[in-house]
Amino acid sequence: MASKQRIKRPTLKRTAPDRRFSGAFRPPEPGASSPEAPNAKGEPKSDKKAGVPYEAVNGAYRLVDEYLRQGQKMAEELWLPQSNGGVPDVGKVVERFLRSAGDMGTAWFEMMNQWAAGPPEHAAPNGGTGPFAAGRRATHAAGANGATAAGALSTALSVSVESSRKFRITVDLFGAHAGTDVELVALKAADGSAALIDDIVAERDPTEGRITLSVRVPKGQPAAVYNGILVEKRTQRPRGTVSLVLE
Amino acid sequence: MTAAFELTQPALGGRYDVTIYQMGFRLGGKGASGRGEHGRIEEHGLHLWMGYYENAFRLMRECYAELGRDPRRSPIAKWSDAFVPANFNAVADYSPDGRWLSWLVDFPPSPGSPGDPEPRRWTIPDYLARAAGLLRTLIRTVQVRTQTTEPASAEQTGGASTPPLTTDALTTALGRLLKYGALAGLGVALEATSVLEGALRVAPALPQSLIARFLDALDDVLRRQLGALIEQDDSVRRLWEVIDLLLAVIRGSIRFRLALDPRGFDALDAYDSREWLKMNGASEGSINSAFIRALYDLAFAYEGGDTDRPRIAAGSALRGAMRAFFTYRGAFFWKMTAGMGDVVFAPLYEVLLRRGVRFEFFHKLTHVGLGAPSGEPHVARLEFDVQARVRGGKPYEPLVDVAGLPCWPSRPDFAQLEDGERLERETWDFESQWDRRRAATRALRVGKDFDVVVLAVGGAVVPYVCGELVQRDERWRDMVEHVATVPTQAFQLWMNTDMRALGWTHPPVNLSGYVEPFDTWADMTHVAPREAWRTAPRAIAYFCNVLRDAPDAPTRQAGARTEVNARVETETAALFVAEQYRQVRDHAVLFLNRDITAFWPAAVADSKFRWDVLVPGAAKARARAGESAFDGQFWVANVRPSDRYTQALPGTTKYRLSPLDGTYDNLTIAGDWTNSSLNMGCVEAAVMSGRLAAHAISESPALAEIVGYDHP
Repeated sequence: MASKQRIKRPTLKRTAPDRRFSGAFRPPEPGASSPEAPNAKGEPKSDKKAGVPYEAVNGAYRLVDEYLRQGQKMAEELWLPQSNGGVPDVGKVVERFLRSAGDMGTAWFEMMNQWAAGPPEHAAPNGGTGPFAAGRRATHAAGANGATAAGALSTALSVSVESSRKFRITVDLFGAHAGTDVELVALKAADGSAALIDDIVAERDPTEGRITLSVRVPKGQPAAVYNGILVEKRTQRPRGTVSLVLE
Repeated sequence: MTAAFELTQPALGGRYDVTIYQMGFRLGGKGASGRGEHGRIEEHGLHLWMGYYENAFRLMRECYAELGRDPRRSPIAKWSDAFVPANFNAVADYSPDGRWLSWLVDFPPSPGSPGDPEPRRWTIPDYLARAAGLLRTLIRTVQVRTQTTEPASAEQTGGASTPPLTTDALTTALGRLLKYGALAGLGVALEATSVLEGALRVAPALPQSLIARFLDALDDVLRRQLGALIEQDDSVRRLWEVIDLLLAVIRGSIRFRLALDPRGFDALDAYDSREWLKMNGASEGSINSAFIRALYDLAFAYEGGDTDRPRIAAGSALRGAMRAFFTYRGAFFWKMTAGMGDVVFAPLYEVLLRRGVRFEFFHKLTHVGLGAPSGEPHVARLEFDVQARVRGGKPYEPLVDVAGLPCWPSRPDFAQLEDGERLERETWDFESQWDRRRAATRALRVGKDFDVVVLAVGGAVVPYVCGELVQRDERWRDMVEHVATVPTQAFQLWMNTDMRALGWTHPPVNLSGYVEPFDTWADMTHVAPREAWRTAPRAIAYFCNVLRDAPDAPTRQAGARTEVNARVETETAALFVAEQYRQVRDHAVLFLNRDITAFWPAAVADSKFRWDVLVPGAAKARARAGESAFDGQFWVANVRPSDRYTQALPGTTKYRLSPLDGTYDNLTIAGDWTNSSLNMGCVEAAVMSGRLAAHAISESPALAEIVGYDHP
C-alpha cells in the first residue's frame, strides 16, 4: 500500500507539557467531562492553543501583577511596627525581615547574589549520598546558605527613577545571567486605575555589561503600586519583575 | 487498556476499531492478578492507589458507571465498592537505642474523591506554602508532644492521634517548653512559619534572597531549640527529621528557582533525591530517616534492586511527594477490595468487549518492523508468536467466577486450548518473553491488518520487540539504555489467627521503611470475603520489596531463532526463574523467622516463626509442618521482562519518549516507562500515558483533561 494511502496520526498542536507558571491560570477547557458522565456526543475536543510568546508574556505579566499585589499587601502588613511587643525573638526575626525589606527602597537595586543566580552547577550524580543507615545519629551538614553557587554568573541591573513623588522600587530577577539583555516595556498600576508608565529606556554599558533602566514618571502620576515585567529580548521569556511604589 | 478505553469512548462515535493483542491469558501486565486455590487472590505485589491518582480513578469511575453492575448481585458493583480509603499508615523507624518502632500516621480524610471533576491545578508556590503550613503544624506538634513527662510511645504520634490544640494544651506545652528553655525559640518558629507561608505564596514577587535569609533564620532557631528535644524523644526526633526535610525542600525550591522554571520539578531530575536534599541543607540523619526510607521503598527506588544504592530522580520524587501529601482526595491511600485484576482489568475487559473491542489472547509480540528507511518513518509490520490456539477457533474466555465476581485465574484454562494437556504438562510459561515455545506465528501488515499501533508492552520488553527501532533511532536506543527497570519480590500469607493475636494491636496498616529483604507490609485481611474459603482466614498479609538483579538473568538473543536455540533458551530461562522463586522463598522464610517479630511479636516463639498460624494452601503442603508450611502460601519473583518495575533514576527523565512524539506517523507508546509527565512507576503514570497515546491518535482526551499533565 502506498504510503500516502496509509492512515496516519494527526499532527498535534502540542507535544509537551505546559508547565509554565502562567499555565496554572488557564480557564478550564470547555466541555471537560465529569467521571460518571462521559463526554457528550460531538467532535473530539482540541487542546487549548499553546501560548505563543505574546500570550506567554501577557500571561506571566498578569500573574506577576497579581503576585505583586498580594505581595505588597502582605509586605505592608508585615512591615507595620509590632504593637504587641511580642516575645523578643519574634522581634528579632521580624527585625531581620524588616532590615532586608528596607534594602529594597533604594533608587537603584543591584541584583544577583548567589540566590538570584542560577542553581549550582550539577555535580555528576554519584549514586546518592550513601547507603541508608538506619538509626545513624544526625549530624548537621553544612547548610545551603553559605554555599556558593558554582558557576554563578553575576550580572548587574541598575534602575534609575525620575519622579516628583517619593517612591520605593523593587527588582527581582529570574534566572538572568551576564549578557542577558532585558527590556521593560511599561509599568502598570496594580489596580488598573492609572495610566501606564512607559517612558522607560534600557541601556547596556558595553564595557561593564551593566544594564541601566531609566524610568521617568510623568508629573501628576497618581500614587499607586506599578508593576512591570522584565523580558529577555532574545527569547521573550520573563526574566524578572519591577515594582514601583509611588507614595 | 486506557488507550483502548479512550479510543472507544462513545463520544468518538465508533471511529476506531480496536484489537488488543495480549501475551498469555490475562490482561494487566505487572498489574495482573489471578485466583488460585480457594479462590485466593495472587498478586504481582502490593498495589496501593494513592489519593492523587486522578486519571486512574477517573478511568475506573467511568468504567464502573458504564458497566452498570447490579449491586444486589455483584459484590463490587460501583467504584466505591472496589476501592476503600486506607488512611492508617506506618513507617518502620529505627531508634537510636536500637529498637524498631512503628511510627503510626493516620492521615486525615480530605474533601472529595479522586476522579471528581476539576481538581485544583497546583503551582510550585502553592506547594511551598503548603509545606510551610505543614512545618507550622509539625512545630506545634512538637510543642504538644513535650507536654508529656515521659517520652511518649511511638504509637501516639501523628495526624489524627495528635491531641487537640486547645488553649490549655498549648499553655501546658509552653510550660513544658520553658523547662527545656525552648519557649522563645519555638514561639518564634511558629510565628516565623506563618510569615514564611505567606511569603512563599507570593514567592515570585519577593526578592529570593529575602526569603532565603528568612528561611535560614527559621532554620537556625529550630536547630538550636529542637536539638535538646531530639535526644530525648523518638517522636520529636521523627518530627524534626520531617521539619528538616521540609526546610531543605523549601530552600532548594527557592535556590533552584523552581517557581518560574518552565521545566517544573523536572529541573531537578539530574540529582538523586537524597543528594539534592542534602545539598540544600538536610542533615545526614534526615536523609537516612524512616520517612525517606519509606518513600524510597514506595517507589522501589533501589538501582539494580540493590538496597545499598537508593536512587530516585529528585524532581520526579518531589513532584510525587507534593502531589501525594498535598493533593490527595478522600484518602492518602486507597486499597482495592479484591485483586487488581478483578477490580480493574476484569471490568475494563467487560466494558471494552461490549464496545466491540477484540481481544487476541496468547499473542506474544516478537517484532515491530519499520517501513523502508527511505520512506516516511512508520511501522509496517508486527510479528507475533501465537503461543496457543483456542479449540474450535473460538475466542478465549478468560474470566472465572469467584464468589460472584468475574476474576482472572492464576493459570490459563488449558481445557480451552488445543493440545492443552500437553501444554500444561510441559509447563508452558505464557507470560514470559523468554519462553519461546509457540503454536504458530502471525504477521500483521500496515494498511491490511492495522493502521495505527499503540505499543503498550512493559518497559523491559521494549528491547525484545523493538530491535529495529533501537538500531535505527538513537532516541530509542537511549531510552532502552537509560530508563531502568528492576525486579521485585513479594509474598502473601493467609493466617488462621487475627492480627491482634499475632501482636499487632493497631488497626489494619500499610507499613514501609522496614528491613531487607521485605521493607513493606500491608494488612489485606479485608479481601478475605472476596475469596472463596470454606473457613475464611482471619488475617491476610502482603509483603514486597525490590529483588536484586541477577547477573545471570537471560538477555535478549540477537541471533536467528532456531528450534534448538529456542529450546535451550526456554529451558535456561525456566531454570533461572525457578531459582529466583527459590531465593524469594528463602528470603520470606528468613524474614518471618528473623524480622517479623518487631511488629508481630506473638507470631514468633523460640526465635522461630510460628508456622502453625498459616492456613494450608496447596494440597501438597497440608500435611507439612514447620517451615514447609510456607509452601502453601504464595510468593513471586517478578523477574520476567514484563514483570519488572519501572524506575525513575536520576538523569534519565530526558531519555523517556512521549506518547505524543510524532516521529513515526502510525506509532504511539503507552506505559509507565514513557514520558507521561508524572514519570514514576505507578498506575497513574500508566493511565496518563494511555490517555496521551489516545490523544496522539484521536486528539481526545484533550491534554487539559489529563490531570497533572501540565503539572509543574
